[in-house]
Amino acid sequence: MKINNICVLGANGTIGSQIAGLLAAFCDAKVYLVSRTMEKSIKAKELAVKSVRADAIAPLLIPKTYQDAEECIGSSDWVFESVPEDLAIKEETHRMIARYRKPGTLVSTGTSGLSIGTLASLYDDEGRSLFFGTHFFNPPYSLPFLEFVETRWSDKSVADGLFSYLENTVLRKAIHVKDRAAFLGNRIGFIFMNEVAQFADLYKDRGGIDYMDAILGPFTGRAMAPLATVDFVGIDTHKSIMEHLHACEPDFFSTECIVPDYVSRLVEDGRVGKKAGAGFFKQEYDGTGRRRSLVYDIASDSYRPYKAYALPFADRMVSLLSDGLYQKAIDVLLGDDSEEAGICRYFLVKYIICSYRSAKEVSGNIADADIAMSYGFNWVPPSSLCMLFGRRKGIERLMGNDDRIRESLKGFDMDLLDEKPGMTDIDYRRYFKASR
Amino acid sequence: MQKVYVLGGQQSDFERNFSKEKKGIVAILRETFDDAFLATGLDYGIIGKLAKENRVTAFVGNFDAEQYCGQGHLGSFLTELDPAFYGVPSARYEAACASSSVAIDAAISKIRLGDIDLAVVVGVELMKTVDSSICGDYLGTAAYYQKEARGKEYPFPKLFGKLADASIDRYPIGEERYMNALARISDKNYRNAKANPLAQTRKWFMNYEQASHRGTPTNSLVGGRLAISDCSQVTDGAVVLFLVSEKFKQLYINKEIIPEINGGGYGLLRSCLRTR
Repeated sequence: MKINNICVLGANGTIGSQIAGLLAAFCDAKVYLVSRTMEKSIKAKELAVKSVRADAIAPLLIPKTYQDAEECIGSSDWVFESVPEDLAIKEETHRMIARYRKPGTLVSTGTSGLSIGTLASLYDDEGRSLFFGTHFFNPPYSLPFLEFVETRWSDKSVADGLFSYLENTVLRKAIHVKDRAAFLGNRIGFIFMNEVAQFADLYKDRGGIDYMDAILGPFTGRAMAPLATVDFVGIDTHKSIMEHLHACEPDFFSTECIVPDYVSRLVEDGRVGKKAGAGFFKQEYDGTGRRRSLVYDIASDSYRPYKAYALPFADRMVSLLSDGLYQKAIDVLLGDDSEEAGICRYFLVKYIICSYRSAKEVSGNIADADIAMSYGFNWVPPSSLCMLFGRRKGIERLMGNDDRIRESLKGFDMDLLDEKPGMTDIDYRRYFKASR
Repeated sequence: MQKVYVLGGQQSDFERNFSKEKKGIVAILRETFDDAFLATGLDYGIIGKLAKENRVTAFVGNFDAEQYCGQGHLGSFLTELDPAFYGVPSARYEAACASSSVAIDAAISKIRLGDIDLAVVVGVELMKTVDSSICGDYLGTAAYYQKEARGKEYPFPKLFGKLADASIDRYPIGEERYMNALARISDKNYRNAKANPLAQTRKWFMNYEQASHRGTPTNSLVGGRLAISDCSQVTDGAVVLFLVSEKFKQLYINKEIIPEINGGGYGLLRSCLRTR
């Protein structure tokens, strides 16, 4: 497959501009950056160049506005839509693409969870056959994961060609997923983080947000603690992903998908995280100009300095991880009788269960959950964690001592825990950081 | 003279940043040994057995762990991995970028002389422990630091920049052709990296145009006429390699064909570049 001209609609967004840069660089294609104003498109071009650290791609990036949409769409081999996650806006945009595209033009949406089928239905038969979901993760240059969604109308040979192109030319770690809410990666990641947010509420008298992040810090196999991740992504984004998933599939991890009240209140107040300057965390400057980091205290509805939680099991794990002793670090976690170690174990088991269930339903392959979580979230692959936990036998041992784990495994096909996913090239060790 | 065979080994993933992972020399060595054992079928048990017979020696190549990691005496560090190394002769070899090559050279000599049956050769560097400016200063100690590196920002690229100047002066190929050739080499190297699942730059974008765009914000000049794309960039990495004797081959290896080392060597130039 050779793609010479690409049109990115919604190029002024953070992800849109970065994907434009990525496509110009790796596809060596001319890319139209279309936004509402020329000023925004020019800014998007700067961001695109910066995101792949390559001035050489600048001549390939052409800033345009929606006034030029007909020309840009009409002369492109691939139109990539990256407008805001609002169905009405997306539908309006795709009606326009359907009007202007020439036969044979590929169209894809970067939606993180809206129905691909609904958007495809806005096209004629020929257009539908060339319409796909291509969900990139942010930032796309350093997170190479991509979810590829076909519809019942998709032309199979074109789909295979585009998938292969995304893997080999755009250098994506791509997986096929079904057209289901939140697809695979976000489904696993956001359910996990939402339950952590629920537990922060449950344990608000012990500290809440920073207490839970201390229990599930980088030493548990992730680059950033869960609630710090939500704050970074945007609490509003988190809330809308969870609510959309819960609305579409009310029976899938139904309790875990309920957004806690304090999270909704923060969103209503506009305290949506790092991008708004306040959320679960905020930075404050004292009288001397010194910056200090504060955390939202759910119990008192105010911000306070972080607490230094004494977690001996975490300290021991960190020490072992710093010497590369991964199994021994997990053995410390499995053998520790503190309540915090119990909470940590519960969440890691839930992560495995949710990953396996999600993968079975959304992609059909457990290895895809490994790819999604490592390349999309920078989290330890769930099947590696399952192996370190001792697979079925190890997790059954935990069930015997922990009601919460036992409860969470009700109805779960335990045979899955002994299933070894197909070979991936993922080395789990890099995801365990020797830090709290 | 005994024959010397290359049994095999493994390198670490050069994309990883062990400093960001908050892991040290022991972690990278342990992981690379685990992977090398997996690749070759050896284990600590065989090393321990040969140690009792005084038939194994370890050779650790490293440039400057004292500065980068605050850690010297790397030869002894293998004992942190497993008790099998207790009593095994092991020392660190240093020859700047050629550190691990001289470690291999020393290992070959020992096997050739018939002193040992297994040489455990290790190369290890953690260079992401410091920022690029300090890293550049440390790298300068591979040159004649006092005369050519001290107080200079990125001394090594600057020295290579002088080499480029001298080459252009000496050979009648012209500056443009010389610089274009460097850009072609860079483009090719990055393309090769994409085929290597353990390469540092396997996901990075680079092409001939970008490598030719020197002096831009994304490809700044770092040493005279040379830009970032003309230089190899430091990373964290380790390699474990097992060299074996004929006796070891016959006792422990089922393979019919195994690479044999027939020769090798190295030599020095003056340290001070301007006097070369």
